[in-house]
Amino acid sequence: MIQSIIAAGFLEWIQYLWWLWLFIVAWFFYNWAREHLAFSPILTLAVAAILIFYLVIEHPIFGSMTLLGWTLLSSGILYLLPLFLPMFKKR
Amino acid sequence: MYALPVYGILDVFTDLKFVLQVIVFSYILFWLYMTFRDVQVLFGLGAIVAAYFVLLNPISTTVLLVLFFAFVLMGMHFQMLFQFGLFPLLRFFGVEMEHPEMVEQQKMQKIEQKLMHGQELSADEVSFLEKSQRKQMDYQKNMQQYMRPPT
Repeated sequence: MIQSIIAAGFLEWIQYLWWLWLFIVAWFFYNWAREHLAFSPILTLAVAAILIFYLVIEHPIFGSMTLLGWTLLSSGILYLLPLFLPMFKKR
Repeated sequence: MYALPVYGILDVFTDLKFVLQVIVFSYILFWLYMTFRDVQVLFGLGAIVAAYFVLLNPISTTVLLVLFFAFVLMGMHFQMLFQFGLFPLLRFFGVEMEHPEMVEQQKMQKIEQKLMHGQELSADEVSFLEKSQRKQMDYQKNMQQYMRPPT
């Protein structure tokens, strides 16, 4: 089973997806720096470099958690949850 | 406690602490720039003061910024999130977070709707109805007593 998965190049694809995800997280932090420090391009680059080094290269899990948590909080996903409650209601 | 550095947990903590300080400082700079955009001197002095606070009192500065963020910037969003996202979920699991008067009102509305459609009430709803009717009668009795002219 595992052999066939490896043979199909699944792990390689997972790796590509992981790289793509890291790129998205890095862009998120660069964008944050760009939005908040627009008055100084050098400061933008410096802060973006610090954020990307620590939260993407050194601790990618924490960086991903930041992005996912922020998306969860700022989007309306959490408002939607109670809409599914009637599905579990006992009659 | 002594095992923490072995697994690199303290290193992660130190790194994240530094990153948090950078984010806090950037955010304060952003706010200072938005406020003193037309007065560069004040922006510069403010940046120095902000750096002093972030470097020498990092914990209290971070806590203050988080509170500001949670109550001022995201306050309304969090309130809606609690009211329309969290409380209905908690109510489903039997935890009531709404004001008790509000809950009674909603219960009454539900009973009235059921009565309008001619549906049967559950034992809990019947007892609730009786209790509220008794409460109303007591109230009226008290009011009559109060309104009665002194003899």
